[in-house]
Amino acid sequence: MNNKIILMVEDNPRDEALTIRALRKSNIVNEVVVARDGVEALDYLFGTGAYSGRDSAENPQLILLDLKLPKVNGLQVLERIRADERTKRLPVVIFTSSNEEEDLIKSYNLGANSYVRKPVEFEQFLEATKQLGLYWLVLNEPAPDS
Amino acid sequence: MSRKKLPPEQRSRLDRQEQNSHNAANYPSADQETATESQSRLAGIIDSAIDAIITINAQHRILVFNRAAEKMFLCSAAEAIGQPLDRFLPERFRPSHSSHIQGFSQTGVSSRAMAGARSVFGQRTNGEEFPIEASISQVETGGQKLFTVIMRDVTERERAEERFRQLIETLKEQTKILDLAPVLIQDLNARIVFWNTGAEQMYGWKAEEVLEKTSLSVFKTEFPRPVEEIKARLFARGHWEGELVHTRRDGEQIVVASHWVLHRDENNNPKAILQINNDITERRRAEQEVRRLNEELEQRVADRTAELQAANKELEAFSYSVSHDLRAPLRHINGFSQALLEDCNDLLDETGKEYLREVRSATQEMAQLIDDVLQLARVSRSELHREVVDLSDLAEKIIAKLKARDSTRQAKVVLEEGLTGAGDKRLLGIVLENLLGNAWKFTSKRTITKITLRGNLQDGEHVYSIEDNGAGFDMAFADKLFGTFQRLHRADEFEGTGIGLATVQRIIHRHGGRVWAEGSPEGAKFYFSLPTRKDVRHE
Repeated sequence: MNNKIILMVEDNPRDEALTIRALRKSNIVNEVVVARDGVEALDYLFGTGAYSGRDSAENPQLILLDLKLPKVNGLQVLERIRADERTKRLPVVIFTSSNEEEDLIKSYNLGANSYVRKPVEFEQFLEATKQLGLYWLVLNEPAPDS
Repeated sequence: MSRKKLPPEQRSRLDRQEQNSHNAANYPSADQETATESQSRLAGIIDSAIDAIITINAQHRILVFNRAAEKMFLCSAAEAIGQPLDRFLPERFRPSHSSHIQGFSQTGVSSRAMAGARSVFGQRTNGEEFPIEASISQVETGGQKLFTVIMRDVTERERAEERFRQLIETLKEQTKILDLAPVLIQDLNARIVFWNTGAEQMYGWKAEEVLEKTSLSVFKTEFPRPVEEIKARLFARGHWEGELVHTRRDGEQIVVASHWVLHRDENNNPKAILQINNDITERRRAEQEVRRLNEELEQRVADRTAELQAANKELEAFSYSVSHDLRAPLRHINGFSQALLEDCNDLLDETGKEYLREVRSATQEMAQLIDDVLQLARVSRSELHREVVDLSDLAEKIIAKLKARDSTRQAKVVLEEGLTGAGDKRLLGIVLENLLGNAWKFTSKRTITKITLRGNLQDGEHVYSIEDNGAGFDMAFADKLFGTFQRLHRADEFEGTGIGLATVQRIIHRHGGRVWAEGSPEGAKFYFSLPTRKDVRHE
């Protein structure tokens, strides 16, 4: 079993850099795989496209999913994750700028495990990232592999 | 009606009459009967006659005065007999009357109607004149000439005749009025057989131009449905009503409201069709105009609605984009400023570090501003879900959050219990968040924060107040309080975006309530009202 990979689905390189910085500052050293749009995320998860040949049985420990993504948006990605037997139990945290009520409702309806709005203030951003990492990577017991 | 036998008292009256006369009347007698029997029967006939019968002698003295005469002249026979006939004529007729009888006497004619029957008048003993129809006859018996006048009171008949004359006048009037309506009659072959003045005026043809022609050839009629169908209906029901298009003599097409009535002969066979046609072209034109304007209006409303929906959608997309995309760069500016502070700490002097902190603080303010503007936009367009909201409970939760964020603050918060209001729970939550948040903010410099929430019913609406002992405000600027981006305090005194109270006002206005405030250096008191709604159900 791969050592607790974090799949970060994020199209903005600055957010990517800040999130990784925040993770590292919180002493979370897990491998972070970055998918820059919805298609790439799905390819990674199902071993298709650019990731063909990847063992799709190897699931990430946590998926950080932005909503506003090129090609296939975050909600569509979530829907596909939940629809597939291989991925339906994966913890998915929506990590996004939006706090529109509709986004929250749709995300939870599609089976998101958590919804965190990215704070503007970096100290709060850091705190949020740290808590997420601690909770989902350390405290939380994932579903056993089938 | 005629009595066969005369009651005894009448018989005696007639007998008395005879005795009173100087010369007993000689009634014709049948050979088979005795003179008495014959006389008595005759007397009975005379007395039971409907007409007044008066017999006079050559000197115009009354010899016989029957019962009808008594009634007519209001005079008993006893009184009348022996009197001159003149007595029962109006004064003015008396002289001519005598000569008339004289003249009649000389003609030798046995009987004739008097004076064309029309101009003869009688006079009752009470002086009343009345029209009579009279005939006179003469007989000579025993060398004496007797005249018998038979009279009928025609007052009633004349009255009836007068009424009839009036009726005819009225009918003539009505016929004239009817002439204003275009009426025509066509036979069953659709040939026009009657054409009145009204039709002439409306269509422009004189009767002689259209009679015997078919109405179709004259009017070039356009029927709303097959003419056979119309005729079938006419024959089934006896009438038909509908709209036709006719062409007038001048070539102009008119819309007529046509009313057809089927005439049948005495054997119930269809004979002719009466048509009354009214020109309703103008009315139709006006109606069409109204319809057209209505359609135009509906189209315009639909267009505007579509435009509005499109604008709304665009606004939503815009808001979403603002919330999502505008925040991201702020987060990056903030995050990388922090990274700079941490990673390049040695390269920056205190001033440089201070500048970076200002940059970070500015991004926070802008983020708050974005959130507030978005909230203001959202409260304006979100749907209202009205219910009974427990405001005391909402307020308590908000105060708990404020206290948790600022645990060192000494605060005395009094929230009246059981306050409810009818409205959208989420939006009223935003109202309380803003008002209580403001109270909390503006009391931050007091040793002890005092905040009080109260509510009461005033003139049919719920009025709530939130009072604090904070910085207050100058009442001179009270009208600016609820304006968007309006601030009454300097940013270095109290932070804020100037959107909170505008949001409060918009929410309360959407609920049909009012919002106002009182301020002094000792604090502020904000009021808002909500209409009481009986139709709001409790949860």
